[in-house]
Amino acid sequence: MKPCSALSTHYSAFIDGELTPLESVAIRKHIQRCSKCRHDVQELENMKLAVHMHGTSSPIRPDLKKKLEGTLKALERRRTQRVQGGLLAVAAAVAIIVVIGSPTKSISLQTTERDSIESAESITPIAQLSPREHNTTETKTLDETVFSNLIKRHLGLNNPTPHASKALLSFEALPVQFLEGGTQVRQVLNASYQRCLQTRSGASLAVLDATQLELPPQVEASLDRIGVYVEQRDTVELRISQSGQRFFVLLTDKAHRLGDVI
Amino acid sequence: MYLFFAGRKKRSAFAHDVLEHSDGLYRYALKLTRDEQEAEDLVQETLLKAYRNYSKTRTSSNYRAWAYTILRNEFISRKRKPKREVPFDPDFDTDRLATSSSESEPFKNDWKQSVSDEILLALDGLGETHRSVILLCDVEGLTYEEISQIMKCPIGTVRSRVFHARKQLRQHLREYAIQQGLEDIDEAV
Repeated sequence: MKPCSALSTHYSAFIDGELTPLESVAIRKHIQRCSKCRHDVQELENMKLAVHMHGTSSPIRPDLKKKLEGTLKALERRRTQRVQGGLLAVAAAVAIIVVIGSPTKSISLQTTERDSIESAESITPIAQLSPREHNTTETKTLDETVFSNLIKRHLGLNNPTPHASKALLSFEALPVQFLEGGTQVRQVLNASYQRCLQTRSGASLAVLDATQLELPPQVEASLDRIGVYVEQRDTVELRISQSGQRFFVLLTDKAHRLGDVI
Repeated sequence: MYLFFAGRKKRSAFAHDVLEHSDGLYRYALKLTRDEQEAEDLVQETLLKAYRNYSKTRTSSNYRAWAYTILRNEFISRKRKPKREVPFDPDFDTDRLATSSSESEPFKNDWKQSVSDEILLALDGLGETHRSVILLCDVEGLTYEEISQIMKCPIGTVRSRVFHARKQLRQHLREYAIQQGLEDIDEAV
């Protein structure tokens, strides 16, 4: 199968930024050399933009948000009234019990009291008001400890990265062909990650779950500005980029050049 | 007083997390229903459901994808119910074209409107699932992962649907470009 046919099915995902860095590199290198595929990708991008421009030009109701906010206010008001009604019933029941002061109550009073207490229990205590704020999912910071552990792993000094263990989705050494210039696309796509462990290229790729990590300010600023954060640590260069809910951390030995990898 | 402030806090957080996406939700609902009133009803119902279940969500939730999921589920369940008669207006956008274009408008605006209609026609020519992925991906800018959550299918399926939907769109727009005597789609769009 010719490279063009094999790769063209990935062009849609490529323009959507949904490919892995390795796949993106392969396609980028191919379209640099193949004018037909370059034109196809350009056509897809223009069409996507046209659909986007057309779609976002649809009439939006300017009063819609206000109307929806009004509906929510009314809903909250009704809920508050129901709860207040329950509170009043509880207060009345308690008052009656206190006034009467007798352990023997009528059945109807007991029923009323039970109903009122049940209504009272439907009131959400302050501590539980925002259960979202008490959830157990905590995010870690992509900080010195994480960087240090990734570098150690890249250099083969240790395996576990406990600080980022929940966020770390994969860590693999990249094949030799990854860094070579003039690479045939097929070689890159067919590269076996098992084989590459014996033929380290000097580059490793860590994929992290972005929902589990917070970015330090300087990393976030760099990603917003230029789409990549680069840091040099002794003999290792770290390049961090983001696609969707994934952080990609490319670790490269200083001796190797990357070119336009990310 | 406590209840008042508790409600206000919840509404404020909800407005930030969910209500913020009401424009996009309405656009998507409009493309699904092709009726402004029905789209508004759909969005309203979606946001009410979201509001009722908002407390059960977590801070790390993807509220945008969640809201679109509710909307799509609501649309599908409405389609299944026997519905009231809503007159379908096949000339929905043509009417808009007729009222918006006039002899006083420059030719360029008419041409742009024509292209816009052609894109609309091309989108309408897609099946509902293909049209949905294109709207969610290209118009609303959702990721494949978010779309897979909304449409309840694997990411690979989303990728395949996007590929095939764009293939059909390209075919339609290529034919349009040829009809207009243009070199390729790039000139048409």
